[in-house]
Amino acid sequence: MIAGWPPGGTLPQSPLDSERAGITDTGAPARFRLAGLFLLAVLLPGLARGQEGAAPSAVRYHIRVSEDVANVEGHFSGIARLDLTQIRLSGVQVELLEPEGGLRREQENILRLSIPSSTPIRYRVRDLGGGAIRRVPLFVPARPVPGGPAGVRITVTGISDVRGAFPKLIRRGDAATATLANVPSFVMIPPLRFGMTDKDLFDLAVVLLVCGATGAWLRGQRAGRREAED
Amino acid sequence: MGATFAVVLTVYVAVIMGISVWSYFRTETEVDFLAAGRSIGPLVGGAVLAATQISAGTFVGSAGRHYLAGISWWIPWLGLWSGWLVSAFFVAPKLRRQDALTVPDYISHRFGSDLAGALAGVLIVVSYSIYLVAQFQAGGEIAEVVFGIRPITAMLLIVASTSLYTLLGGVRSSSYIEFLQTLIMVGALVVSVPVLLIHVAGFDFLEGFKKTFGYLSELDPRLTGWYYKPQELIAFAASFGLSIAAAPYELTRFYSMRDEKTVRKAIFISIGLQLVISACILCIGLMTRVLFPSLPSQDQATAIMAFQILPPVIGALLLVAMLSAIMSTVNSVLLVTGAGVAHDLYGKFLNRKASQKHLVAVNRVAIVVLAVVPVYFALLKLGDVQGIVIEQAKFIASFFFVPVVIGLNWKRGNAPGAIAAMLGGFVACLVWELTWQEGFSRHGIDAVEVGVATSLVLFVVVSRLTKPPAAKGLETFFGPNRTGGG
Repeated sequence: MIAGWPPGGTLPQSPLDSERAGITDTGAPARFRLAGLFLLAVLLPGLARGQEGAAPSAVRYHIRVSEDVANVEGHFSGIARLDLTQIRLSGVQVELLEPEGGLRREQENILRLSIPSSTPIRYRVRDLGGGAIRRVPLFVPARPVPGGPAGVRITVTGISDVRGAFPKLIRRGDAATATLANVPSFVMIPPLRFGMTDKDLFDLAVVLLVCGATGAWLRGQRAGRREAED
Repeated sequence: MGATFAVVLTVYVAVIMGISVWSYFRTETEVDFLAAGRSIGPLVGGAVLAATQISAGTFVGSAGRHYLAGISWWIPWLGLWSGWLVSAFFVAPKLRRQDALTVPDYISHRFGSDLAGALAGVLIVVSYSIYLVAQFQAGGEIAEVVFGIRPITAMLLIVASTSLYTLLGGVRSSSYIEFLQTLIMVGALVVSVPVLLIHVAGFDFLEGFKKTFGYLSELDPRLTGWYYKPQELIAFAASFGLSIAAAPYELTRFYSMRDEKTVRKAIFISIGLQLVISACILCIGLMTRVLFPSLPSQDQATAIMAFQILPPVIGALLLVAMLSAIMSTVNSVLLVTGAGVAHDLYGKFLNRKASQKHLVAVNRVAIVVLAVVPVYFALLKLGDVQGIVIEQAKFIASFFFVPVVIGLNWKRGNAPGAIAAMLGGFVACLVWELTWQEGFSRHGIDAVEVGVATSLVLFVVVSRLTKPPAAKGLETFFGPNRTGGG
């Protein structure tokens, strides 16, 4: 553990704490407006809000997969302070290559890192079982990422199949990409069983269950009608 | 997901429209429209109560609060179920003895005052319009996250589709559609949990739970401990429990059931379904936090999970279930508020000679108007979805709990007492919200507690100081049970 962590000697705030004041029972402004809503509000025109324009990507990850190793490079922009957390996944080892400095704190389930915002991150993820790498943990900023729906872009190279991946990856040439609004805790590339992913198997089970239940119900209805006729 | 969602949604819409059209041809009188001809059984009734209860507040709001606050948000459910039990034992059986159509009907009949009934109608319209704001806002959040469309477009689509099936078949179509919605909701939620666990730690589900708990407790210890103070949780639980014990949109559904026994069975079936749903919602909120720790709004948690994490068919089913939950609640609320305007105000005060067909037509017009107004407020985003639901619950509890629950169980309560209780409770809750609620962290007294206490004191004191109620209104609720329903 590194001395001086956490900064200021207090626990890191929940990323949504800043919003909390406005949304719970103790949040006066929202409640004030809400309680008087139908008694005090005056209809004002033109308040319907449209969708905000998409800002450039604030977080970019590039993951190069090669058998049991993945090399990851992360770039963060437009974020004032970089307090990052990474989930510690079982069965994988993370070796931080860059930056060498920064505050670092390792817990049983979380790796915390505090670095200047302009600094890129490079690290290597290795599958401890020696098999193909299936899950690659990412460093997640403690605050929501600016940039709207395209704020985060993750590019993965070196994989052949993107079916069932988390987050959803779209293949573009040799690379697969995901464009999303938030950084996920990890990228998962699931193995195929009988040419299907686990997600496909779940979907298949649900479709069979729905068809079976509908068939059974229709059969029951028909039997009931026959009984009534007799 | 796009094509899969389109297929699932098309099948779903085709089925509900089929049910609506089928119901339309069986709806001729106001009793058909507002009470499904009093034909609903316990299983469908229980599913309907659950579907009405499980709204956007649950799918979007509660899951979001679990995402934000962790495990402790589950405690308000206990308050909610306590409210259901109060309803099952002290409200539903007596209320169902009266062949009423709306809750203001009960108020008018029990206290022998049309004025009290009309006041109840007005307060219902005001409070439930706030509830609709939460539903529309949730619809907008889902649409923005999943489909990338503007919230206003999504809200208007929800208004149009829900109004259509409410207009067509009234409570009959709603009941069968909500039965279907409950099946989809419970099925999709139950399947979502193992999928999330696989993401967290593979097929070792126990390890998945351990990992989730360990990760969250290190991310923020309050997520697995006490995020809210005890007095906050008590206030949340009180808001939900006191409001559900006397919630007009749930009570109205009792009138559509066969008899008292059916109502009580339906309530227990509903609590069972809610238990399953609450456990799944808890898991979804927590595990989505593991997978996406820094969402900008907790209200996005479920939609992001359905879109990014779940397999296409299950994700589409869950999205349909979420939209269904919103639609079923909007539908129930519209039926109640529409009836408040048409049946309780128009039919009783403005046009007493209106025919059955005319009343149904007025009801339908009121539904459309009352559906559109809350869209405006939803666009203002006055708080998170769960926060808006809580505010509405506080008001309902403050003006309805006492006249309904105490009124059904205390003979001496009379019309002046009921009017004072409703008005006093509403005003006390509103004034506290606008003034002293800000100091909640200091004094720990919530507006719902002030509202209900004021309402109770006024009900008892004013009733005691004025003439006892006429025996005519009391006989139905305090005389021998003649409906044979148990």
